[in-house]
Amino acid sequence: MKRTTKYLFSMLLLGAALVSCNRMEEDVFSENPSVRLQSYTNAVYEELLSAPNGWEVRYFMNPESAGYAMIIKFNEDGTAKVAAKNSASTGGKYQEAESLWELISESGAIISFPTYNAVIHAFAEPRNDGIGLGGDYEFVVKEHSAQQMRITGRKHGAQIYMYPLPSGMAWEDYFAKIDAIDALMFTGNDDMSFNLVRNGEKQKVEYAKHMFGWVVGDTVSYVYRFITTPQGISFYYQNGVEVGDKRAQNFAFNSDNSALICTDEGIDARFESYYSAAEYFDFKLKHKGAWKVNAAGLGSETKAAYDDFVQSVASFVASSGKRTITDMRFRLKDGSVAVELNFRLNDSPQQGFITMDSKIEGDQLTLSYVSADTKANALLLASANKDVEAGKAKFKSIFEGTFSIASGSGSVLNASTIDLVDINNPNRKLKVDIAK
Amino acid sequence: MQNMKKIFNILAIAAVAVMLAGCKSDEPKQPSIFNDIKQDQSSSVTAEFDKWLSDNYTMVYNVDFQYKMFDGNTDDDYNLTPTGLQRSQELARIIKYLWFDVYGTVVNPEFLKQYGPRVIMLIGSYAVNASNGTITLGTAEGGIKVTLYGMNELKMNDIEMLNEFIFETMHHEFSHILHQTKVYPKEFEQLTPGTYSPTGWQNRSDTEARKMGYVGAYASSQPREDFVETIARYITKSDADWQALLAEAAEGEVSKGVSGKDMILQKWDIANTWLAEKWGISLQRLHEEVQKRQNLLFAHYDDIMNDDYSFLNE
Repeated sequence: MKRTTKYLFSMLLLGAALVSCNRMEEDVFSENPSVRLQSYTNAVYEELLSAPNGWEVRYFMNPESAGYAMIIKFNEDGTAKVAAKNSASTGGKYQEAESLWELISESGAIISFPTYNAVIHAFAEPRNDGIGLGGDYEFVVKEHSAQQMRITGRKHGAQIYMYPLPSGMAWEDYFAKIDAIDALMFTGNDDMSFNLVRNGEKQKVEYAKHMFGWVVGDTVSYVYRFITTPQGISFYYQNGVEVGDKRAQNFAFNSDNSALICTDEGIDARFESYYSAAEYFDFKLKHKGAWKVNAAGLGSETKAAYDDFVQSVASFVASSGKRTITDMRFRLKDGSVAVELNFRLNDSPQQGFITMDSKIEGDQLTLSYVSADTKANALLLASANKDVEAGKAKFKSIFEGTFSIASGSGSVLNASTIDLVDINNPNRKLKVDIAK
Repeated sequence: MQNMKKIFNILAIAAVAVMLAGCKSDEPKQPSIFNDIKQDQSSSVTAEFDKWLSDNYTMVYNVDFQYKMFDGNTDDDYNLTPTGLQRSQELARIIKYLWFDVYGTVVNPEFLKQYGPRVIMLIGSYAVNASNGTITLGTAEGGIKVTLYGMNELKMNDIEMLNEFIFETMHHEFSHILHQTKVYPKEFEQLTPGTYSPTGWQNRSDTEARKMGYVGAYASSQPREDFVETIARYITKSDADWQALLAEAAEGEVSKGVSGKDMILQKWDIANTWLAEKWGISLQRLHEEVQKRQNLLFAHYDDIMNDDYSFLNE
């Protein structure tokens, strides 16, 4: 049916063309359509080549997707170099790929990448479902200048902006800046809640995978997709959050990274924390979450105690075999905060729990040892050559105390990693990351 | 993806074929979409390759070898990605060596100029038919354009894979072009009329199909696919593999006293006679030329990439 429709449409067009040949009408334009199209395409071509360091492409696979940053350098010899760094298409690593590019003159100008480019075509690979990520790699130029272009994905229809990348900015530095912005608010922070403050009114919003959303009542949900930029975030084309009769499209962090502020003129909107770090620490524990000790982020005294405990356990061989601690996590166990000790007994994965007395007051957490279950007790024994009290002392030197609770990401907006610092000794510090 | 069955599609839409035939000229049609813009093709990194294609495909076989894929020119029902440039450059030489030059040698280049496909299009990704768990290996549109899918997925040192994804597909599609020009004998369709299954073939294994008198599962979909598959499989399979195929078929009984092998050989006879009488082509010679070239492919891969075919005369 589709081909029949196309065929009929072609015949109609042909008919229309023949009819139009018979008419004697004065041209509105001074040049014929093909010349006008050629001049249009030539102008776009020159502009694409005019960015010596390439174009920053704010790529959305389709109107339903979040955005992914790319850089594309169009070369005169017909090659294009494309770079990206994201979880969707490059496995989180910086990647460059070269292919051909062409500018097609077809009822407008279409940017195409007609040979395989591992970076850009990864968004369009069909995969087993025939759809894959649902991205485009041919783009109709909608608006163009040497300073900004708006292009539209030919098949899936996403609206995409491109800007010349400043000369002198190394491509990897560009993506490092984006990573730094993401780290302040988004990295590891899926399922976090924020306050969206519009003209002073707060709205609780949920965040995941570069999208914000919320539900009003039982049925109406809002989803707002954005791309991280070196300056902050930019919402998808005309999809910014509503503020009165306007939409807030672009946001940047304030000076202490405590809020993401709308930079569009005349719009009062900002994203702020919904939870303090202490509240979030408590919230995740009470909602089947866990906080995993990050062994690379410990204070010097805690690090020494932690390493001693782990190494002592590893070097002790009990009659039941050898135990190797793999990680430690805070988790709620039977209604109480516990330290979950994950370890392998020989090759068998095991868990032991040490229940703690836990109290959060304001931004402070006080922890003290209560009891160990059988498997955890075996670890305490192993850590101190069968002297359980000495083992408890080692454990307490890591976990007991009164700690301040603060975001470990450098921004109060991202509490997916938290620093617990002994209020009396800064060298006693636990860093914990959100975990399952 | 590996578990997916592979199929071929023929999009022989009469109206389109008529329209294209009406446009036919001695030179293949250029894509209508490019290139009236300022991009200077002579300074392009592909200028040398493009000249090679012109010299070796366009001038000799009247073929437009399309290695650049424009999504707007493909079937919108599929999400597809292009072939890598280096892969295309290798494939252009291998396809010339193992397909075009075979007919050029066994028949003559003029034969392909008249009946061969006008356009070969390479597609990097598979054409995935998610609804039935299959992938399409190739399509032939109106006897004009052959499209090959999955080119980025090929292992270039695996002749079975090259045959499955390229050469079987091309012999298959070309045989369709030939029988659409001169029909094959109706008696072919009467050999196994009761077991063709256009929608259920993918539930048969190749072995099961062979015991039923088909060279493979897809051949059991309908008579015209059976006919071209019989030709394509025979040309591309080594003698040992063909005998193994027949041995599998011999274990099945199609009708009383008639084994699957007997039936395949009857089909082969019809195809062989049809090619000889209608086209003056020896199926045996095609098979032998392909096998000779296949056997020399990897030992002389670099020579082929450098357009040195002197080893064929050694």
